[in-house]
Amino acid sequence: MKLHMDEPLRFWVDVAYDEIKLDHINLTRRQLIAQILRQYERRGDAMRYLDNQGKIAWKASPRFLTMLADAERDAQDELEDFP
Amino acid sequence: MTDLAGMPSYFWLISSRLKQPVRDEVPYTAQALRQDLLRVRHAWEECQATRDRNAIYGYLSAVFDLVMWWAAEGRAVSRARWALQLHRLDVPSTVEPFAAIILYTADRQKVDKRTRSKWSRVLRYSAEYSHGESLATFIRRKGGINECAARFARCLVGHGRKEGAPRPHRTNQPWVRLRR
Repeated sequence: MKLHMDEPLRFWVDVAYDEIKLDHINLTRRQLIAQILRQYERRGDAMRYLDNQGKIAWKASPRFLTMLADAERDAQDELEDFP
Repeated sequence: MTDLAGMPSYFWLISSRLKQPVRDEVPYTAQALRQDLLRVRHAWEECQATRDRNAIYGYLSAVFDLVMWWAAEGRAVSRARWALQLHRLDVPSTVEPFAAIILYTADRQKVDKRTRSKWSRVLRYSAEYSHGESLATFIRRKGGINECAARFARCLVGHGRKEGAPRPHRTNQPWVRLRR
């Protein structure tokens, strides 16, 4: 069964996957993605929900989205300070 | 497109020490359950912090969304029990998942047994008839919280239960899937 994710979560899960895939060449992409989602869920960054089709999907938690927005703002400010 | 430059590594760094056995599926852990309940609790606190009379829908939606995905896995009752056990609350012999999550996440001084029961009926009614419509829209379209609770009660009567008669322990009613 495919792991459906919303766009923000998919982006960060893909980045995390690229970060660790070379350390786990014996594992499939699916296994690594599942492991990443497990950790994201445990720390409160990802959550499951029932989508419009009645399937269980994943999305970034409100807390994660807030943290992302803050971090993006901070990064933007720093880039403007030090172009 | 998000620019990674300057973003804290928190967002993509995870522990590379993977716990065995590695699986294709993502098991639902106690820590994940705690996080889910914490989000519902935050929704409760947010709704208490505002004078907006519609704020309660935010909280009820959080309860609804959580129980609905549990129910989709056929685990609504067992996870509601688990939640009560985590909080060291008395686990009744028959657990109604919506009521259990409300009991766990809302202030008991503010939400008494009658209100909890009413909200639970509203959510069970929505689970059966909302068909993907947003909870707030559905409840408002059906006349509000009190009206939805009354409609649910009428459904019980309509399905063969005499008014005032005790609810059977096991039924074949549509919301029975929430009992698993």
